[in-house]
Amino acid sequence: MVITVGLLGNPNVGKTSLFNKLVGARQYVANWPGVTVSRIEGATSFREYTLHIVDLPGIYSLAATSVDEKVTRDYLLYSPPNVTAVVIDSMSPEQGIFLLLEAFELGLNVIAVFNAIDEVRKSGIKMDKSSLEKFLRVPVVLTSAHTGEGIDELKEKIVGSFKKSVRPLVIDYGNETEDYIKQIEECVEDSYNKRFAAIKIIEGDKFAGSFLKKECKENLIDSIPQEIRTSIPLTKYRYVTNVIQLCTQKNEEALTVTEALDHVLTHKYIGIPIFLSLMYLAFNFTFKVSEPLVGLMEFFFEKLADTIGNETLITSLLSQGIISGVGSVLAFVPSIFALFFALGIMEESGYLPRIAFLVDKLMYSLRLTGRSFMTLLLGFGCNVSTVMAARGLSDERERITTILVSPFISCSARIPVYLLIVSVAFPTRKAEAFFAIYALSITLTAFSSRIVNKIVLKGQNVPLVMELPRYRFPKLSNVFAYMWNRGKHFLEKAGTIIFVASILIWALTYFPSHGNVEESYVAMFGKLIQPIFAPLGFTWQIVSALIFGGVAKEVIVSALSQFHKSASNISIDPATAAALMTFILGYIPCFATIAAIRSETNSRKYTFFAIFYSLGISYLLSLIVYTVGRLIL
Amino acid sequence: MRSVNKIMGMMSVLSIITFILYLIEGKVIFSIVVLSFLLVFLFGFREFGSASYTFRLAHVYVGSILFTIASGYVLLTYLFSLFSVFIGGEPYRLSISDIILLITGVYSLINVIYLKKVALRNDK
Repeated sequence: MVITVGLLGNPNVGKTSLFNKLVGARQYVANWPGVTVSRIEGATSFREYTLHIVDLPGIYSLAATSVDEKVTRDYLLYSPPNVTAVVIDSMSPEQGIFLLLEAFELGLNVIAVFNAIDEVRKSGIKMDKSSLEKFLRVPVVLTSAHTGEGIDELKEKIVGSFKKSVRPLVIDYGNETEDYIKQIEECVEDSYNKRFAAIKIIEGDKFAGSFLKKECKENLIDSIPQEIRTSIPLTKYRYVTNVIQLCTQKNEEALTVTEALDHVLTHKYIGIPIFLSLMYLAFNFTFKVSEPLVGLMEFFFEKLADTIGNETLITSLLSQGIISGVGSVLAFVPSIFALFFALGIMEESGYLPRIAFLVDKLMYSLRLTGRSFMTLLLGFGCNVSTVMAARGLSDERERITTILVSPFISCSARIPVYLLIVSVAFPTRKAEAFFAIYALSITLTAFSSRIVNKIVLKGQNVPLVMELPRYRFPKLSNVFAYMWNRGKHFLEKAGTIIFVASILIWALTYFPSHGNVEESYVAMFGKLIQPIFAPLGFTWQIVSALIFGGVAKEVIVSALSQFHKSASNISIDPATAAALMTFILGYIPCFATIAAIRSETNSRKYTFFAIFYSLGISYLLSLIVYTVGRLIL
Repeated sequence: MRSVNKIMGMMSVLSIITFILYLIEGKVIFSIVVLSFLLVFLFGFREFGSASYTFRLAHVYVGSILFTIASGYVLLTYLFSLFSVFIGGEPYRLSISDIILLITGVYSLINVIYLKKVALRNDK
């Protein structure tokens, strides 16, 4: 028999970690809110049952204000699971219990899961399970997705709740409010849970209009006084506060670890220098650690290509097209994994989201919030992730801004290209050059946010909302999972897009003059449009490689290495290299990102803006970099 | 419990020496990194008011973590450079400043463990 279990909870309470523990999956988890923006499903067997687990996007309440919140509410409203496990952060359970009370009102069959119980114990807080069960009137499980504690008990309780659901707690909002609830219940369509719908209508839920019967008078909603509207959340919070006071015991002492770290790391004078220093160390670590391995892989692929030779059509295809083309990209795998290892530690520790706090003044002037900054951070892996994760932003203008500026965040696809360029043009200043391009990436994103807000999307400022996770010691398995999840796309692309593109590039390079690159089709085409890019110092080889890079940025490496017969033959002067890196930073989003922008904005105007704005700004900026670079480099 | 001011003073001296040595060696950017970490201790001396002791402790704790990271980075760079031998390269040579940084790192690590144990509590 199949039991459907919905995992409901606030963002960043460990739902996905719990999901992974329950079904043995390896979904990407992060130490910041808003990572899950669509439903993730998995299954596991327990006794004679199959538990079909659905991990829902994190929400703060069932009043849907953003796309991901609507995904969760619609699922619970129209196809409720057999059992809903409301995951609550034991370290700060207020908002989680608030959501639990809303789940009661929706009439769901609920279990309260207090997660991170290991951290609660470490901090000396005592949580009384039996009191929680008594006051919340539902089965309570204390779990730790970190250690796996309570997972078996959770499965037991799921089965128990499925067999016998409990009568839910009903909160009394006082006579006056209850009268309004009853009055509105009359107007709610029969297919909905009447009390839940009435409460949402009173609260002013923007999607709640669909709950009402057509014949119902509209002025009924308008006549609800403001104090009645606010009495509902206030009553719930009072109840939540009482439950927490009765069920937990805290001991107050000196500074906590998070308080101590935050005091210094978010310091208004030294916070940013520390961040920049740590980023510099991360980039330097990437190069120093991966250098021997990259050298070894380059050596291997070059020897292999030399052994095969390029005398015939087939051997040329093998050595130049496949081994040199794909191999030149694969050689950077150690660097990419090393970089994501370093970034994984920063993210897993909870430090990365603090940067949003450090730059809050700037963010506010850009009319973005802390959450959009964190959404943008996802773009360091893949820009498509940012575009998709922007669903979690409740303000439409902020969502569109985040989507439109996301291509400027340096995604992992651009890393091998930068690595190749810095190795060729800045051999003694690799980390500095790499650091500079990432700094430029963030600056360009910020600048573009301002432009988008000024020109494309006019309107009011949105308030800045910060959600900071606790610091924690990075768990090696999570860091490796982070590294693998971000790096594996690169390997997948090497076997698919890069492989196919490399063969195509080889064919256009080989024909019609049997391997004479200067007279090949690609050279003819490259030389034709090279004059447009001459002011940037780009040769026909660079221009042709950039065109192929429109498919996927990594292909630039493959193309350049084929045009020069080998990656070791590539030579670019520092000024051109700096201009090229700047151009690659934003010249055009890859096909996958363009498709994601089109589907998420549902607008041709925004899609064209994303393409042509980035192309224009990249050209202009590269021109400046090249002109200045020739004077100083 | 050991004096926080003494630990902070000792860490400041060690990090100033490290900073100057890197500067002399011409590793300007890395010396700036060390300087930014050193600032954590120097700003700790500027903590005044009723909670100054507690916040100084935060500066010592975080500054020590940062120096542990910096020395860990140098150590890892050295260890991974040993692989260069396989491709005909030379392993990274530890300079005087690197050694001083490693010593500072060991002292920092002791401070981190000690302060976490006796002066800070886990998150609420």
